[in-house]
Amino acid sequence: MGKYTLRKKVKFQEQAPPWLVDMSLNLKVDGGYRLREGDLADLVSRLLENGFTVVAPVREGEEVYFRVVDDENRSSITLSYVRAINSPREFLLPDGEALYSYDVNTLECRFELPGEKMVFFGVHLCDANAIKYLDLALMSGSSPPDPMYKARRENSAVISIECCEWDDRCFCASVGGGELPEDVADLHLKPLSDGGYAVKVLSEKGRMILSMLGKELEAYSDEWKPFAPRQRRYFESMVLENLENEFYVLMRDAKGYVDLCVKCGSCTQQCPTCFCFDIQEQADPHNLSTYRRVRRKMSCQRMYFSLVSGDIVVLKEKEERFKWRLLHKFPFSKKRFGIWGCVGCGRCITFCPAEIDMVRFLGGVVER
Amino acid sequence: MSGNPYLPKPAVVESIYVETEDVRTIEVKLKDFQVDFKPGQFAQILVPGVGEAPFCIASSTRRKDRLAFSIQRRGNVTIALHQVKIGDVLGIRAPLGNGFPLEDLQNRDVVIIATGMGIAAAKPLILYILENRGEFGDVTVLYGARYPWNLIYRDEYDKWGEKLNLIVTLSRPPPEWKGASGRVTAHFSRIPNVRESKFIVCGAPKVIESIVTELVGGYGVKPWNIYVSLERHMKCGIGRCARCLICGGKYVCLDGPVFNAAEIPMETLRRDRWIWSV
Repeated sequence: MGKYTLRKKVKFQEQAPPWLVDMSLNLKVDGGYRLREGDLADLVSRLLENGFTVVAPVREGEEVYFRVVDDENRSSITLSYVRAINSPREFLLPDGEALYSYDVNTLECRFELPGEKMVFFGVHLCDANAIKYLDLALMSGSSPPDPMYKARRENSAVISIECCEWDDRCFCASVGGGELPEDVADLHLKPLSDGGYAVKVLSEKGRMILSMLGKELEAYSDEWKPFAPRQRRYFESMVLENLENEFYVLMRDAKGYVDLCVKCGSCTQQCPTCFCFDIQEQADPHNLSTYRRVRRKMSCQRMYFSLVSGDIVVLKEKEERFKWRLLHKFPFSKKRFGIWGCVGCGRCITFCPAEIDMVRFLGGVVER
Repeated sequence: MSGNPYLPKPAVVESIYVETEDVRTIEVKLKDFQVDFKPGQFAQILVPGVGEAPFCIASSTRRKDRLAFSIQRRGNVTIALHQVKIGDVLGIRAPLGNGFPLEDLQNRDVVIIATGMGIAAAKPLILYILENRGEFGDVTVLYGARYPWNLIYRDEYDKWGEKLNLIVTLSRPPPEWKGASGRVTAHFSRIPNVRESKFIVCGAPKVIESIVTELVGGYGVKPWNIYVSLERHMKCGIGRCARCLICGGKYVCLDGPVFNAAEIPMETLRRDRWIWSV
């Protein structure tokens, strides 16, 4: 659909930035620079000093999570990881956030837009592309954008990083999740062989963040080509063509795949692009005449998702729910927003306790 | 309060009319705002402390400061709406959705087929046709219900019948029933000029499916002459929560609730499964 276009790069709010920015530095948007070893750790501490909330991949035992960086977990920030358990979506669409609160008697409404400045640090390209999809789903189109999400995106910056680790569940290159989303990422990092990083400035916001380092940077003019091959499994090209048609998904036999499904909803819980939500009523325990309308994460694998008037559950069977998720990710998203709703991060395959592999279900897996 | 499309606006319950055992029509007076809506659009009603649910507006489009809703007792919100008293405050978000394509219906023969609570969705269109009778050709309203005590808007039938062709049919009539009986599909032969008419179909998804199949298969009506009004439990009402997604990647709250039957593939209407069907 033509009317859905991605918004131009969002800017920080108009007020004078409270952080220290040295505008005399010779940093340009679209320029490439070389960072020494240790510069990134320096950048994180400068961001924290300036009052930013830094969300970065943090290693906790064997696993990597996106966490808000504080003094305790700063030392365990890692940039070499395959996939984090959660995704930036958890911070952009937090579960249980209040859309507004109101007085029961007078219906006087109050709402607060989130104002914290957030930086997503070390986000893989698949997750950066997922933010691009969320932007389309929650801010584009003819209807008004979601105010909470919009405020969060206006106040956040994304520092993406080239993956240098992957496993056999990644398939981002097949669905376009491996390309650099230049309208979402503000800075893009690429690890260099000497332990340093090449950084590409993609927006004014990114330039501001980079200038916080407070020193001139050496230019980097080598190529930005991504690492090859970045994945082992590919869809056959035929499959992607067919996926634009919903009947391709509907006609496939899912019996052998969904038999093992336990309806836990893991596939949607950690998916970086799942945005369906529910709005629920919540009483304020401190003030009984005040109620809040809160946004709760909703999964299409749950019964309540498709409950309509008269106790009719329209997605009754496991098979229908499984197919519904894939329909939303592939043909519906392509028709509505023009891009796939799946970025190929492989989380739904990794975290499924029944090891249901939707890539294999959709067919045509080619291993290279 | 600009900037947050989720905020409801207050409205006061002005009258409650008990239509049947489990259906009430609630009329609300909007506080300090007006709603300029088209027939077929819907509203989100917030019952303070209980929750929010979508309902079709069932009143005349001429009255912009008062809205009426016919509510059948079904779940949390509707039970609470059956307990409201005159003077209670409700939150309203309206108008939402696209509404019936009036410009497409003008100067044409129109057939409105409604079953059960579907008549509530069709009521603003019926009232609009009555108010602007000259703009339309022959108008037939085919209203089907199960029992006589399920019929709603009973005291308005005489008024409707004067200006348009009203057929009320019961699928399970008691012996003393004098009117038409059988399902609505049994009365299509009474529609004059079937092939040239525009059809509006409101009702439960399964009924819509059988009506459209019968019209297209049995009477040769072209699918693009049929408009159906669909129902989903929209949460946000503005195309953000994706709870009302249907086949084709369309949102019922934004691209609907009125769809042209040609927009929805005929195969999807024939199946008795939701992911296929409307």
